[in-house]
Amino acid sequence: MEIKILKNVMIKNDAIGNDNRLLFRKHNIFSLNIMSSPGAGKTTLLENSLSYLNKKYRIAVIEGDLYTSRDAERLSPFDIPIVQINTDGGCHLDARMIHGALQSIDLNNLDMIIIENVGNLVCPASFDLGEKIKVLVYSITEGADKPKKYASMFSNVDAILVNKIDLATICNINLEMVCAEIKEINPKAELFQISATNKNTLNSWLSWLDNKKAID
Amino acid sequence: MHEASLAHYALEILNETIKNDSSLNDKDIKKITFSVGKFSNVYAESFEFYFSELIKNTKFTSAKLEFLNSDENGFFVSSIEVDE
Ligand SMILES: Nc1nc2c(ncn2[C@@H]2O[C@H](COP(=O)(O)OP(=O)(O)OP(=O)(O)O)[C@@H](O)[C@H]2O)c(=O)[nH]1
Ligand SMILES: [Mg+2]
Repeated sequence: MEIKILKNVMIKNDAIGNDNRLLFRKHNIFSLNIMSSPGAGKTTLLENSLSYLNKKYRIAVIEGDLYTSRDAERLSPFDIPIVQINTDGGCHLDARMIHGALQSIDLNNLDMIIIENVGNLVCPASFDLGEKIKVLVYSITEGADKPKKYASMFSNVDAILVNKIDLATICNINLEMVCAEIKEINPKAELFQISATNKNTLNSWLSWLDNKKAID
Repeated sequence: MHEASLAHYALEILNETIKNDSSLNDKDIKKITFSVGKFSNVYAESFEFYFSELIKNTKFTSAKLEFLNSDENGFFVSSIEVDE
């Protein structure tokens, strides 16, 4: 006799993700999960976006890293709540870790929570954290073949920031071709070409974010 | 990816199923079927390795493990087969 179960194995994570989502909604907090491979530019993007966002919104940041609190220290000049999660070798943040981090943030006085995930182009894609928006930072210096090689990540996000475009020529990258390939994998994602180190390239990304926050 | 933690999740789901259906208590589990979605990032062989270790000396220890590919997103515990 066959007995149907039909349960997604991730149900355990997703249930807590849903709790987080409800908590964000209750406090009217817009939430963002930034993912990328190690060193693609997440913290740099945060540094150069926060100088703008920080003036407009009350923000908290959750930093996910295997070890150290270096990224949290880089953001300390902004004088905002920062929670560092160390996964001790774990390759991704999961909903339970975020739920724990939320306990130490005053959610009543907050407009936005930004989560910097562990640098990894594979595992974080599978774990719902309860966030509103998933953002991928893709550094072109990693090669033009990465979107297709890591399709599960590229196809599962709301925005893709194609980063380090200042290095395109040196790395022999044809930006148009790369973006066309990304569009094939994820036609719905918003695409931005940026240099996270250069604030002037971040305007469209920041106004897109403003807009998403406004309609949340 | 993290097949080890998925193996734990899967066993939890199976244990709950058995707990919620007392008629299954004294039945032998012959087969467990999993459905592996295209973008689930689950490598069945690796999952099987961890899961087989986990179910040693449990009710599921002699169950045959079956993995079916699917276009659906995600990795599912699809069904179990028990003795009539
Ligand atoms: N040339 C250039 N370098 C960049 C750009 N964005 C980031 N970098 C550099 O890339 C390196 C890694 O950047 P981080 O911001 O630390 O990357 P990350 O994704 O936060 O790294 P992890 O958190 O460790 O995964 C730093 O040396 C940055 O200065 C860019 O647009 N152009
Ligand atoms: Mg970082």
